[in-house]
Amino acid sequence: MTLALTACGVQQLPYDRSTAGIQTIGVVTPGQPQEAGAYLVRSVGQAFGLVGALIDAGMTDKRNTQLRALLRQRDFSTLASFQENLVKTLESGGYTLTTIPSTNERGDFLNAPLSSATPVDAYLDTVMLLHGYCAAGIGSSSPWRPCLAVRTRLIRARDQAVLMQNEVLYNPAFSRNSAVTISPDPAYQFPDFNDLVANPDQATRGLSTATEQTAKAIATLLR
Amino acid sequence: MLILRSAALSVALGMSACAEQGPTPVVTLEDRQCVGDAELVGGSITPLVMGSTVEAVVDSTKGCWRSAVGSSSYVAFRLPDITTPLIIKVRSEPVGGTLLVPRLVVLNARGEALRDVPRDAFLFHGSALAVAIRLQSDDRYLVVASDPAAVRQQVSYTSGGNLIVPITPLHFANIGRETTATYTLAHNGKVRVTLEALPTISR
Repeated sequence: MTLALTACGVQQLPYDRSTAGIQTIGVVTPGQPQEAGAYLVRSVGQAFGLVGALIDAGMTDKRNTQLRALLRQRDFSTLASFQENLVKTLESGGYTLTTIPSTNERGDFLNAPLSSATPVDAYLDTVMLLHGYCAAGIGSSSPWRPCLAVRTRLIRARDQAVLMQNEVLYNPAFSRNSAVTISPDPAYQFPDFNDLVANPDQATRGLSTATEQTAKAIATLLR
Repeated sequence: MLILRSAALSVALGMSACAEQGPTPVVTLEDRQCVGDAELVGGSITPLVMGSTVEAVVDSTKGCWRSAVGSSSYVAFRLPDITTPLIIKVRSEPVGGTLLVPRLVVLNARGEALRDVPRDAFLFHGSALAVAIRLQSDDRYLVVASDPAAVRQQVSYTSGGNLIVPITPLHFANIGRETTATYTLAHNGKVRVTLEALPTISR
């Protein structure tokens, strides 16, 4: 997934609120193709072929299990936190919001035409491609920080036209000029993964901040 | 082969070690003679061509514009006649530790401001502050100006990158590293402006 993020983004389509005439937005349950993960973006193991990959996979599994347990203990859902922040920031931007339930087990935008019992002018479709903690590499100079990658598009209800499309990366592990990138909050960094596990409240707050900042960026794109 | 690999490594490390110095950040325009209207005629205005990117350095040789928000340095661009849907992308890119803090004003043929895109609409795209907007038929000029309210502020940008190290005489590994750059928001810097057709995205 992280490699996929480096290779291809989505085409950027800017929104023009002054001509779009959108007042009410249905926020569709974001897609979330995978659980929270701990991503070591670059490692020594990657240089050692299959053996290295197997060792990396074992260590990744262990970190993923620890992170997911930590978030479960704190009753924290990245998806719920993101959706809550999205609704809050868009409402403060003057939109009237409705949430629209949808399957979250999808890795791309919805294909089928969108509809809602409550009439809306547009739908906001988002996909949370990656969420959890990332380290850019090994060593203390590459601490573990919250990371989140979201694709988003606004679709006009009457003709299903795409009015806005973009990608937002919180704590970008790769240099990408086409996506909106958010530098991670320095308050939430852990030099070692064990430090992260030992500070579950701080780790959860870090991920919550990532969802808040990402939602704000999407609200800025829709201003 | 070993020599080649070592050379490549040296280049990679060398490039990462030598950051571009860049100009001193200009944080005041008190010594400049600023005018009340952005100059939209003559050689100081750059025409934009569909499908191309123009790079402009904003420094003390460029115009100074005094508006309701204060004094700003600026560069102005002339748009072609807009007969099909177009978008414009504006990127303020760091030069060393200096980053022009941008805002955008779109004007009509009479030089009247139609829309103002403030500083906080610009979001980081990599290390650049960038925005994209749709153009409308009355749009004739684009002014990229500095935002006097935000100059002097410092912003940091952290991102991941590659770090190649030898692990045996014949093996190298990318162990990665994180880099944080700090920029001073300023009246000077470098902007890139791209004029494109509005992409059509089907569902």
